[in-house]
Amino acid sequence: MYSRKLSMLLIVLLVLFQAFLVSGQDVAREETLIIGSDLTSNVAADDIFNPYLPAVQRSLGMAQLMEEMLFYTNYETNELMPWLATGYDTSDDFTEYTIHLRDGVKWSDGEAFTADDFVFTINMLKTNPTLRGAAGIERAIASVEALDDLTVKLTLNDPNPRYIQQSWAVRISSSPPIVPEHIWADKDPSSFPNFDLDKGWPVFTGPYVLTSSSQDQRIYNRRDDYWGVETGFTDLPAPRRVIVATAGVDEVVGARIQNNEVDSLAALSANTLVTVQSRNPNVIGWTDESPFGYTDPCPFYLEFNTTREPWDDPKMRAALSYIIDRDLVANIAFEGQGMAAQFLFPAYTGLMDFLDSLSDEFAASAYRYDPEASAAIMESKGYTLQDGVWRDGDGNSIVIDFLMLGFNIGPTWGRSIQILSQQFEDGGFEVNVSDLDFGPYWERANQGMWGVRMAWSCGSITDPHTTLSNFHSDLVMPIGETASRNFGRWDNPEYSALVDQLGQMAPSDEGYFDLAREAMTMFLADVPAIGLQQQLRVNPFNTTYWVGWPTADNNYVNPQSWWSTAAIIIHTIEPAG
Amino acid sequence: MRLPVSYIAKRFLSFVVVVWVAASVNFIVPRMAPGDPIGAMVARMELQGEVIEDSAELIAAYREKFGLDGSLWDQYVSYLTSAVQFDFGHSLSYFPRPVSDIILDALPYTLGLLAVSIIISFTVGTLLGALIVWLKIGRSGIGLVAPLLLLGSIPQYLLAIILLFVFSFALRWFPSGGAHALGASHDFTLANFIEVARHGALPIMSIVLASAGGWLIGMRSMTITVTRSDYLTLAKAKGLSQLRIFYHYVIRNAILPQVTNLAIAMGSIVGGAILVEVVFTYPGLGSHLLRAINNQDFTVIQGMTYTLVLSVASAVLIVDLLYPWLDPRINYEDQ
Repeated sequence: MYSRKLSMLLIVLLVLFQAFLVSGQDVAREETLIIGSDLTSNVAADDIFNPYLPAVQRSLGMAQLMEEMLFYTNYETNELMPWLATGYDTSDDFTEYTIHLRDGVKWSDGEAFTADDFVFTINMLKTNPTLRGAAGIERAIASVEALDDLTVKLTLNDPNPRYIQQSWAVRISSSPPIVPEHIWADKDPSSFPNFDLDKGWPVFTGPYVLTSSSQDQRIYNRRDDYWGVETGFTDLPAPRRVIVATAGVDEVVGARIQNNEVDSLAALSANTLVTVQSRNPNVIGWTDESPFGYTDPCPFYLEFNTTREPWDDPKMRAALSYIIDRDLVANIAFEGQGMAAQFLFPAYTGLMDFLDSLSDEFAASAYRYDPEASAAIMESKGYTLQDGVWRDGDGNSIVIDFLMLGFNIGPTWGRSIQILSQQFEDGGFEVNVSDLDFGPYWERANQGMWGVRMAWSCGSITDPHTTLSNFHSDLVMPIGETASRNFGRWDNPEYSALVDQLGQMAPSDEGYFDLAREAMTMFLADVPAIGLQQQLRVNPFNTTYWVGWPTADNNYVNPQSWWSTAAIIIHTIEPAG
Repeated sequence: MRLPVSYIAKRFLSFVVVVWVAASVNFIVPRMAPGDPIGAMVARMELQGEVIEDSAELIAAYREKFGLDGSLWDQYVSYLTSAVQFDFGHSLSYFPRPVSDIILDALPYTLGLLAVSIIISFTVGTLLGALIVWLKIGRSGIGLVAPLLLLGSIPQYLLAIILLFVFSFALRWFPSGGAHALGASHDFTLANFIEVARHGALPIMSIVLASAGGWLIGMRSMTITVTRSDYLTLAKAKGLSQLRIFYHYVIRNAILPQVTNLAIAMGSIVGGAILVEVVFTYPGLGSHLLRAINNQDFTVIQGMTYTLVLSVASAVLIVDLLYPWLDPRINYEDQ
């Protein structure tokens, strides 16, 4: 009796085994591109594909594979690459922009992409202030209208000659994506997750559609009805499938690319890359040799709270700047591969000549390691060096209230804290480091509850205005109130007037760079902030399965695999075989 | 054995008080930390290269949206009301994701990972601990205990990294992370089940190796105490079989503290194995809890810790009620 029951059970189990033994992998590894994401841990928001919700993680494939931008800024060629748009016109006073959309663009559900979608997206952002980026749109755009199916007219609140590049051309990381009106019109954008695989959502115009999303990976399949092929604008990208997976913690990511588990990583230390390359020569960096990394658009900088003693005195700010050996800080922070930042913006093609033209101003500024100059300032201010610490007449030392974003965002910051603190102490200052997590850091930073802070400066990439405008007097808020920019509350009306003038000029205008130089000279003399480290981010690629990655020798575009511009990389790479 | 109603009522009352106190502490502690979740959210957006215009207005709007602009008392009352209904609302950092979805999505992975790990390490540790004493394994016993204790002293995440390098990157026997093969669907098929088991092997191994020594030591100590009991001498004198004595007299009496610890360990499962999950990018509750703490995501912290409190308190309550069955000598009539 028992043996009969057992036999029946075994047969049932065998049938179930056959029925369930179905593998989910139906695309060969050679046709699959696997991108290690810029996240070291999984995300809980695996069903949020609304690009305007704060929780969304567009870098996990949305930005590169599904969304497409009107234009892309190519850091390498310093050109604007039209994509969903074909170009734009602007009025003489830079308050009106007419954007021409590409004919034949279709959403992934087959509907036509039109000017109405653009207008809908702008109006949605203007009427929903909690959406991501909405405040910027509301502040910049007075009105929007569709002149016809393929033409949109934007009227700005203020003249801005660089508006398209700043706002619609992936200045850094990404730009606002247009959303399909026919899907979003009856949704509440402040809570619509834009995710329903059965309905084919999310719908964007890109060559890939989402087929699966979980905490640790997102899977995208190529769609053969991509508009780019139908219109002859571009070919289908070669990878049939793209997987964007959580890269993992620092200790294991190198081994993952070494073992060909992933085809690219968002970050790896240069030293680890060397080790990986010794075991797998197919793994490459931006350059063949050190430093391997690509110049990040957001250099690290040191900012002073100019409302607080003693940092309300430019001389004291200079005294602190003189004791920082930027090369040493950068090298230690980046394990020997660092580079001191020239300023608060990177030395990209569009900015390099301008920076070079300021070499005399930099040489005369506090942007150099000169402890003797620091000591001279301190003595002139009545301080005396006692047991290695500067003290005033009452015996008080200077304690730097040093605010840092904590170790959580990476070892580079941790090493920077240590070396900077050491240099401050060597220079005769005492240091009180507040190494905080995102929430408390942000609260203290924007409310001005600090003396000196280290931060990152995401501003200019083609001309100096954007970064310079971040220190405008109009942005100064009282201590205790939230500032959006200019956290150090540097208030220089003369400088701000120059920035206003620059804001209404195009970089090609005559006299633009003379004015910019004048503003920079004021900035360098007043020392509200100092460039610290130019991050060279190593973003390795694996040529085992895919070739044609961007490198210094094949620099068709900047290499960030987690940015919207990675769409161009994915359209370019080819199978290694 | 019949339990008196007054005892059950007392136990249940203490269960309710424990849950209320722990839930209240879990409400207060995250709010005592400096900063706030909306500021953290804005900071993360800035870190991605965005310039957040009018951040003061944005922060105020989100604080209102999430009810963070009300008084602490209002938030507390709202939290307790929701907790009773098991409705923790939406995650602050992953809005509009409901907290319950985050917990329910990750729970099966964590349950699988930790339940298997705890059962294996409990069984191995407890059996070895008892056998070492019962079989009077001297030096070879120490030879067995020492490595397990050594492994127990290595932090789980470090053990995880070592296992990862040996078994995944060097030998390539097991996958290096996640819970599913890259590119595989998450459909409920046997192939996927096997894949999930393969992906869980190294995390389980790191937890088992790190924790089995503790179970072993606990059981060994209790077994030594039990073997010196008079009733064991009597059992031997009666001529009972060794197996019967070992199972009914030694294990059954020595295992009681282990069972209490097992219940607490099982109840703590919903806390996840944070560091192991992070190292293996395992999609469990622990890594979500860590991220929620980093993001000051009050609703997720509250939802997870409340679930944790409830499960631990329930486990203890169940053990209290089961004890008379496990050990008939325990008399609740006087309590």
